[in-house]
Amino acid sequence: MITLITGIPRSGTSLMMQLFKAANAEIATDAIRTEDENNPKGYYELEAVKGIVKNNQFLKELDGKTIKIVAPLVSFIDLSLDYRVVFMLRDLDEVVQSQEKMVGKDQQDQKEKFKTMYTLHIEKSRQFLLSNHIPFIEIQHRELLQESETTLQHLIDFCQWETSIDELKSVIDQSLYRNRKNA
Amino acid sequence: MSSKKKVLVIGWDAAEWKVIMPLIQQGKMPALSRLMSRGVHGKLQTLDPPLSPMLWTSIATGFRADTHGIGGFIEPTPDGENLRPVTSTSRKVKAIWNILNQEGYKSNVVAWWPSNPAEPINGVMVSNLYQIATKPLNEEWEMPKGTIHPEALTEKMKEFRIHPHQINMEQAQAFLPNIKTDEALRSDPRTASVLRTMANAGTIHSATCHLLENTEWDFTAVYHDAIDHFSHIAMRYFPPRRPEIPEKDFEDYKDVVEAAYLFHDRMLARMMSLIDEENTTVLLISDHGFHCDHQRPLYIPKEPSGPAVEHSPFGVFVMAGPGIKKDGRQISGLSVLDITPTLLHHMDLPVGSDMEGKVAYACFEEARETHFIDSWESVPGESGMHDSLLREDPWAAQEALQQLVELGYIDALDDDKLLQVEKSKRENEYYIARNLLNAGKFAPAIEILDRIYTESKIQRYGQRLAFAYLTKRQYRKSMMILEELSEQNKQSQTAEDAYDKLGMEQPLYLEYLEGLILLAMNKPHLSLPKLLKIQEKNPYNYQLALNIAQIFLQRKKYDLAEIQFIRALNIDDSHARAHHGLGLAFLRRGNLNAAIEEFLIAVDYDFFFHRAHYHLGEALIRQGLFEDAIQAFEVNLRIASNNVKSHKWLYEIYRDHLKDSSKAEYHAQQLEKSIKGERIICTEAVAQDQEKVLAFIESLGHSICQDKKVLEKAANLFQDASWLEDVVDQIIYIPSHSLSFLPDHFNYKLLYVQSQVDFSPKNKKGETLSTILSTKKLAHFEQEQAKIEAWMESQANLSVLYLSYPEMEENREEQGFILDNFLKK
Repeated sequence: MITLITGIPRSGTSLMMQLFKAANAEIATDAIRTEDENNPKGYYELEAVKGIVKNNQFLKELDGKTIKIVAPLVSFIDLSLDYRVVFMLRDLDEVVQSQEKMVGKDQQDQKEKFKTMYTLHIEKSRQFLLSNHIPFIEIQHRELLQESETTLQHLIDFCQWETSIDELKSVIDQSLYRNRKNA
Repeated sequence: MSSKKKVLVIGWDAAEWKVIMPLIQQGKMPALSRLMSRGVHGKLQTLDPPLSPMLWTSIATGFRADTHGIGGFIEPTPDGENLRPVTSTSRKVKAIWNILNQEGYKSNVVAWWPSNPAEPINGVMVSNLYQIATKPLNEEWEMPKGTIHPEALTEKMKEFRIHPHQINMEQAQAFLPNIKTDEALRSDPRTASVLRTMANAGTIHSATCHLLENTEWDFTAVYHDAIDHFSHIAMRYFPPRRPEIPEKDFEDYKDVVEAAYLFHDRMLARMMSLIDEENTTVLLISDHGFHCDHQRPLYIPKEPSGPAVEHSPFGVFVMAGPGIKKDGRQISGLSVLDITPTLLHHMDLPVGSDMEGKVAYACFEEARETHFIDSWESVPGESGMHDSLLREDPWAAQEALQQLVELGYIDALDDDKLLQVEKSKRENEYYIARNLLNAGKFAPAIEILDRIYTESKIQRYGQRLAFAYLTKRQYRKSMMILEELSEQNKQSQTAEDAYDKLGMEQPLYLEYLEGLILLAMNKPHLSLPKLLKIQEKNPYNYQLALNIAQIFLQRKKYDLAEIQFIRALNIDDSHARAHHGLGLAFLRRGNLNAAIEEFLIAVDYDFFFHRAHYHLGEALIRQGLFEDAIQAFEVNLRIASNNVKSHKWLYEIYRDHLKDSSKAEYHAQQLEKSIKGERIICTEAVAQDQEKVLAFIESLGHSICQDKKVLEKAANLFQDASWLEDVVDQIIYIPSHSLSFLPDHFNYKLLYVQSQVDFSPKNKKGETLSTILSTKKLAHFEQEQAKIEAWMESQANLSVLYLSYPEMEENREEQGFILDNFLKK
């Protein structure tokens, strides 16, 4: 079985990959994209995912591993394989703001358009998983950081880990919760 | 519970009345003639840009493109790298068949544009990819997924398709008489296009007839694109032959267009034989017309959708059936946006208040109130639209994909392909901007045009931007863009956009634009020479003739205006504007009978042309035909309810001529509601005694506006008249050239200073000013005087006091008394 970590870019997918690493899960990454100011603790990505629209055969080599595939690309997976999915969700204003910082361009005039598209991508991905009977859980980014124990327990139960909550809690660094939308 | 009304909608893309009517008169289109004679018919105004996927979606929804979401011919594929024909998943609002679906109707929809993939309606949908043969006859002709709903009918529907290679010589001869004997003709690409179009039309027709005969239906809509295709291929060869068309080509292709219409009439006859005519309403429409006479453009622009310049602004509308008037009358004022509201009203269903069209009440036998709801978009129910997850803005999706590339999550898209996608995106935005301009939504249109022009520096985007600024009176910005475009032209070796939509070479179009800007800036003396020069090379340009005529009208050169309006009418006599303009020229010259005749023709062509009704009323009043004048003004008010002038005239007629005090009182009340107060103005034919007269008035205790800024604004009233709201109880000097720009919502008291020309004292030689002024100055004086008097004539409820300085000097006390009396409230 392959574990997929998905979500709209900048919704906490890299953080989730860190948690999986802390739980001693085998991560599928080639470390081509290294840590930077947007992700000081690293991206945990596989370069082959970038070409998944045209070629998804690399997934056949990843049985038992955990891989990050951002939300719009989830529907391009090879359905002959088995999966479970952790779906990261985050407030879309925070997502768009974080993306804007990352690309280094003013995207305010496109904000609403991106939010609409991402809402659609999330729903499409969700429906894809449901219709293909792929088990998944949804983790809210804010809850992961602010009510971590409950959320982490949920994650531990879904993944059937033997790891303790405290081991996972140490991974979560509040100082990296930037682009926060005020309540 | 009322039973459902049965409706058959037939779309003939680009069908043109100027082709149809002669054929009907010759007895060559009996089916259409019969439909017209037992119903109503008229012209159907198109929208801009006149591009079919946008228009047919407007027809089916009642919305313009910026709302319905179909903004052009193509869209990006989901991978963001390629382009495909626009799909039904890009439509954002319900089409009429979706609304009917919710109301329990069963529908057939055949080949609507765009309709692929077919929507899951209660009934049958055959998409617009159905008829397209993708392989040679000897290979399997696959039907793309999503072509037919329900899918179970796919195999059956394959039976009705006709491949272009199945068209035999006998069938082809009806379109191309020389095809049997001319081998070169047989292998000409134009011939292949004709045969392909014949096959496509036959396919759609066969499928439609099958569904009409073999399904239960309440609503059927079929769309034929064939007349448009035949016309683009062969209207240039339609008789009479134009000098630039080679004789052989003319002989080979001259029959295509007529054959196309006859073919469609036979298809119509067949469809009519399959329906219960007594109980089915038939609506036959086209989205635009097609120039078929001397207005056929000489050049097709080298740009995407360039051939659209061949489209004419009016399509056809024919409606017959239960509840529809049955006397074959012509109705007017219809637009493509009116089709869905009219059908909904006819089918006893509510009309969305958000729909941008109106119900064509003139079609119906009985007057019945329309039930309105806020919007069909907020009415829940099973509409048969695609799942919401399938419906997305493809351009936004492509941008989101680009975002993922920039964030490093997917491979960069192919640069060349991306360039094509971006070019196409800009082009679609250009169409949306034109659509917004057409709807009068200038601000969002300018925003789009400014951005895409800045990004690409494409001439036609800049031209449209300059035109939009011009319309918004932002002359400086318009001129700046124009200068930039002219500079580009000088530097450009091979212009991407070789010809513009008016068929003029690029440099002349920019001059035309400059001419319009100068006209708008009230510099007709600079504008006119430019436009006249352009007219020498473009003698058949209707709009140009109209522009020039308007300048002459404005300058009170009515004889020259007449010539230009007649010229416009010789180009196209079915335009209300030219008839109205000619009527105005006649009116101002006192030729009242001719004026009335032209105004009547104008309203006949366009009943909703409210200014024509207003000026008809003005002409009728001058003829002393007060009852008729009342009718004209009443119609004007029904169309343009805030026309203060009509209320003013009606008040005067009832008060002074018909002595009907209660009606006079009614209009006085309407005026009170509309009139924002009174303004006192002073004018003079030439600025001669103005200062002395105003000083005299001030000495009597009346307040004169001396503010230099206000006086400057008064001299440039054409730009902005809003400052008049704040100038109360002061006398404002308004130069004679600004009078016609005074707003209608004030009552005016005019102090008209008579110039000394006629009253000047004799000099030692016994000469007066009028005898010693140069001819030029005298002519100028007389011209200005005529302007003032023409403006006065057109104002109802205007009070005028004639003043002359010599008289004021001589009879100071008496003049003062008269002035005080005039100015008192």
